[in-house]
Amino acid sequence: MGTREDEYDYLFKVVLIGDSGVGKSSLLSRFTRNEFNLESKSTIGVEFATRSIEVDGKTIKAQIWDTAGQERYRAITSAYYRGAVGALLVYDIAKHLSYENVERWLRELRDHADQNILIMLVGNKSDLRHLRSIPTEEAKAFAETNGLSFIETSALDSTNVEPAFQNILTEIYRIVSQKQMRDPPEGDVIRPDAEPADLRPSAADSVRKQCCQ
Amino acid sequence: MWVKPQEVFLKTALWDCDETTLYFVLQRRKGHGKSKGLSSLLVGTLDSVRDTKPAPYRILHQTPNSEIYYVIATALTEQEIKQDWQWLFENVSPTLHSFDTEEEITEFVCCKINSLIATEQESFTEDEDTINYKNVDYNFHQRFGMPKDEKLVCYYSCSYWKGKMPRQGWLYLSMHYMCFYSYIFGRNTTLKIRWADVTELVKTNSLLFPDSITVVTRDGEHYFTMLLKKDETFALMQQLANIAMKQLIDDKTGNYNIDKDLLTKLSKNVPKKASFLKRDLDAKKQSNLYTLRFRLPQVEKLDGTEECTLWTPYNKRHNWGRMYLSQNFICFDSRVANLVRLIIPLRNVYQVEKADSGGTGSSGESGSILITTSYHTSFLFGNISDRDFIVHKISELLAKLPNRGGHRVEGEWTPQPPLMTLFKTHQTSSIKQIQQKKEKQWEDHMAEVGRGVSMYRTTEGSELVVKGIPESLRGELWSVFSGSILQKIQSKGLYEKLVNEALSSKNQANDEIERDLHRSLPEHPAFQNDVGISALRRVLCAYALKNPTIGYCQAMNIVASVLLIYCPEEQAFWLLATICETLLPDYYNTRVVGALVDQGVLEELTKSQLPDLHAKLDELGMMKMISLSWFLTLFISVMPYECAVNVMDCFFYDGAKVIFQVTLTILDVNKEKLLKSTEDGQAVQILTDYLEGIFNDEAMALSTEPRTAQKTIKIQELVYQSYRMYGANVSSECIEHLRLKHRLRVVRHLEDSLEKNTLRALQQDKLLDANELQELLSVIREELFWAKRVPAERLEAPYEAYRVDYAQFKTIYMALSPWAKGDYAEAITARIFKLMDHDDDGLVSARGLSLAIGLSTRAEAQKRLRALYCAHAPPLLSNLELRSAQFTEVEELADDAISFFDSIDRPSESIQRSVSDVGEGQMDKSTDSTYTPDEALAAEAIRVCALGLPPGASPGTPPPPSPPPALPRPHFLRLLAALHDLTQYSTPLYEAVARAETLLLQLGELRHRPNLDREMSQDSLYLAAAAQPSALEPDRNGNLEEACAQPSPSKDEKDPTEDWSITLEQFLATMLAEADLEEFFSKQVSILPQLEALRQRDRLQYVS
Repeated sequence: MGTREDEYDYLFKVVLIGDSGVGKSSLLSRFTRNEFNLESKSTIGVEFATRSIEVDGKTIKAQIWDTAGQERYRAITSAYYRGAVGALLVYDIAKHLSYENVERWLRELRDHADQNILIMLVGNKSDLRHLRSIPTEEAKAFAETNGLSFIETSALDSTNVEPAFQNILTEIYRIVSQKQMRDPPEGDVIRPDAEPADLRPSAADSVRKQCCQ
Repeated sequence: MWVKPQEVFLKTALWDCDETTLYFVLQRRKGHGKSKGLSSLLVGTLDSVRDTKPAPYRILHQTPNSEIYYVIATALTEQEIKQDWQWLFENVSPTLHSFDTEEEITEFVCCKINSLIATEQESFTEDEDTINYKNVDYNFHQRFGMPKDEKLVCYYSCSYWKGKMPRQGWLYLSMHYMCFYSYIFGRNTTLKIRWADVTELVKTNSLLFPDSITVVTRDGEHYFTMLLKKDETFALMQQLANIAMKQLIDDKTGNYNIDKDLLTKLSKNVPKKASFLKRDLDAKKQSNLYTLRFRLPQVEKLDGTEECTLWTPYNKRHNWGRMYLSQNFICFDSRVANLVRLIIPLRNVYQVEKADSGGTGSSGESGSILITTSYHTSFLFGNISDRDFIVHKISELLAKLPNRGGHRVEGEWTPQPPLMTLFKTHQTSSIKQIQQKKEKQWEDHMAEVGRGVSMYRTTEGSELVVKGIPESLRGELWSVFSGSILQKIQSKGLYEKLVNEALSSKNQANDEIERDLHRSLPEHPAFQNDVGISALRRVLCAYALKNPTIGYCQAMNIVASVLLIYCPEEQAFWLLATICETLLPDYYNTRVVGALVDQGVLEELTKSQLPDLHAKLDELGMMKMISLSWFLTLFISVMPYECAVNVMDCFFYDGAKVIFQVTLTILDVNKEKLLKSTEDGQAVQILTDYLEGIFNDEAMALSTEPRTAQKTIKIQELVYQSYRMYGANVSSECIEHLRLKHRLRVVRHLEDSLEKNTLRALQQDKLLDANELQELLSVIREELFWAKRVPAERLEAPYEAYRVDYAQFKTIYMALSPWAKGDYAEAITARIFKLMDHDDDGLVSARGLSLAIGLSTRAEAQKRLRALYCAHAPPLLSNLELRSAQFTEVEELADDAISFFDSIDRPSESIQRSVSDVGEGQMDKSTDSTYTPDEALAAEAIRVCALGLPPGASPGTPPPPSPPPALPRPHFLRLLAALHDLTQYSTPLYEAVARAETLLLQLGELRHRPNLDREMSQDSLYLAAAAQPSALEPDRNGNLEEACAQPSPSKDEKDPTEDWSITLEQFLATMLAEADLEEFFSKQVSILPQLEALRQRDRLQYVS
């Protein structure tokens, strides 16, 4: 280890969830490798990729866990929510059922993830304009009432993919760094030389405090 | 031999003591054996004079402060008595110090010995369910309140440790329960554990509990010691617990099918067992091991086995081993592991002859059998001790072979030959050479050992498999080795039938399959094309139809597409079936249970083989999930495709153990790096890099793009290493055994989390408290259990897994709800059930039931009355029902009530009975009468109104806040009848109802008069007098006019009292104005005592 790839100031774990076939894996490969395959293997269990971004001159390493969407894998994938500070809840703007199921996914997160995990609702496949079945405004309103941020993306033409990840990571970063300004760090910022295992609980802690006040 | 304990006073006269402990003495009759003194002569004389011949050895029980001795065992030989002595010493002595008094010790010992005698006698006399067994069976049912259809399998004498005291008694094992009963020291000890609640079964040998069986449940641990046949008992317990778990997984009707064939089976030396069921279970277990060993279809039943030799022509030797016979196969396995194995399907057998002295001279004296198949190959078995019996047996089996003339069903499709023949991937000349060389090796090998199902499986063959099967032979050899070819042969024509049916049906599985067809093996040209895609669709859809408990699970698409590359379509289908059902059992079911079980197995193996790595991975929190996708896709989704197929070669040959040994090897090789990793992402990356770097230079890579991953290891090397390092430690038997163990844990865990989530969801209704909900849920589980229905997890919400039908709802509701106590109980229960049955499917979820009970015991008065009102609103209370024969009587009853309230005589019996008849009749009708779409909508709106919004409504669909319709007169009268019934036991309440009723009936009349407008009704004296502003909900107020104006959706046109109606607001206001009524409907009723009673009730009366 010890390559440049591993030098970072913060490490955030983010999960991608949502129904099968809404494009979670495509979003991930678009963001981490800038690739798009119209046809790729369905995700079994959980897959994983990382990418680092810069915010305020700090390097943030995003560890993104991509999960299987099929109902029967839910018990397995929910085990991966542990320690995640952010979640992208993806639906397909052309498939109404995938939008209806958003509520169920939220419940999953409530049940298995840290209670203050940041959630972004992502309407993917925005390139399919003529097939759209969920109006942007409707989803936006739903996101607002449920305290989620919201964005529409297209992994195919890469619209908004960067901003989606940037936004959620930046938001997490803000909360974590504000917490640090208020409470001087007690080794809770995770740098490569520090104990990275501490990050997740501490980041989650700070998120919780932030949200409660 | 143990004898019934008898008191004796003379300890030493006529007897010599050989050994003495604090509590036991071993004695020898004087004059027997060593001593030849005078006294021995005397004894001999005495014995002959008395003409009695006491056994020369005996064991006495004594206590230090007592003069009384008990004979507890006698024997004719020294060896025999020593055995008993030894048993006492090992099993009984160590526990005796735990008793406080010597009397207790003596009572315990006597009781123990008596039960031993009882057990032994049975083993002499028992045949199929004998009278004695039937007595025990009867006692078992009485003592534990078991329903009649609960079958006792076996019972054993043993001790159960209650606290620090062992209790001697009987352990009863039945299909669903293990029970223990003892009566000793004047105290009863009973214990009843359901198999489905067992989390762990262990044989232990600790200082505290020597040589015991430990049963762990959620509530605690139980210890059983002093078992005569500990291993047998344990094996049976494990088997029963697993049957229970299987039922939980499969969601099938939990009836264990007794094999009736066993009764008439031509058997030789079948040992007598305590019960027929036990024999049946033993046979099942034997058959499971047998089918596993030879990869036979799981339904195959082992008939018998026989030691013999098999002549192998390729090395001209007789190999000792065992012959196995079952309905469809003759199999052989050598005594030396992996030396030779053989499967002969009986349908291929052409001739069976006695061949004396097999020609080679080495086995001259005993009989040989020559079996010739219709493919002109013959197999020679020798040294069969009872040849005539075996020949007879084989011909009997041959005679029983079913005649299956499967004929092809024509469809609009033709089965696809292996896709690789159509879509040839480019091959370099060196790779071509390697493949050809491999093919040659296999041709030579098969020339020696034969080809097809009945080829000899030899050590040489396994070595060739490890090196990788040539691509051209994969399809054939995979089918042969995995045994899937046998299934295919046995089910001729089934595939075509399934495809035709599956393609024409529309269902969820087919939709899911459609979505994944292009996401299976997209890098292969065969699946960039409709030819491959269509074949894949047919295979997956046909399988989903064949096995609905699995349906379609992601990962099956990936596995099936690889199978299609090498095998003809139908063969690929049967290979997939073999993987799903035999090799990776329960992997792809609706909760991926099998995969979770194997993660547990892997964890245990890692812990024992790589303890430091296990500790590290556990610390990173990834031990339980590390290899899920590896197992689920047989490495296809994590390794390059051309490497994963080599693992599959071994997997089909050697079974699931292969994926475990390969996984352990991968972990082992990367151990150093993994130990250094600091977080789970890093560890996953290490393994991903390693897996992607595996290469195979004996086959062409699929992807034409240059490889980015750094080469790590040659696949052949990895496979070879896995056999070298873990092949011996990880055996198929070991995997099977560990799977049994972990299945208990996984299923229990899933059950627990389902229950936990359900409870959490139910608590959101804030009616019943956590404790009550917990109890209620266990009562529901109990009901479902006895109805042989398994809670099946559903998509909608956790509580939907527990759904009760009307009979179960009625049992629970009538026991718990104060509303279901009077003569009108049935009708109220039925209406509340309808109110809760959201989708009108005759089933109510745990939430529906908890709401129903919560609404009648906890909710505010207003909510309770609202629920009652809604339950009587049309269309829930249908016109059909109102028109039923007894209607007029009921109407009269309510009608008359105006002048009725000062006389509180109970209404006549006949009317009451007719009312409950209505309740019953209604439920019967509700199953076949369905609502029109309009009515269904109206019904749903009423339910929403009665219960508040169901949690988890989909986003973006705002709930329509519509008030319930006004009650037409007949409906209202029904409601009144219900209210009368609820309050009939208290005069003030009854009068209060009557007063409210008078007002309401008059209100209804007002609306009935056409010239009276809405304002009038609202300003009406009655309403103004009755209304308490707080009782009226603001949002309802706004809707009041609309509600009144709204005509009832299903009003009866012929009803003369057409316009007569009462609204919810009027009803609530009037009722709540009566202080007595408000108090009555606000009373908080505890349901815990009733819940307890419900749990403890005697099921004998309920289940027939």
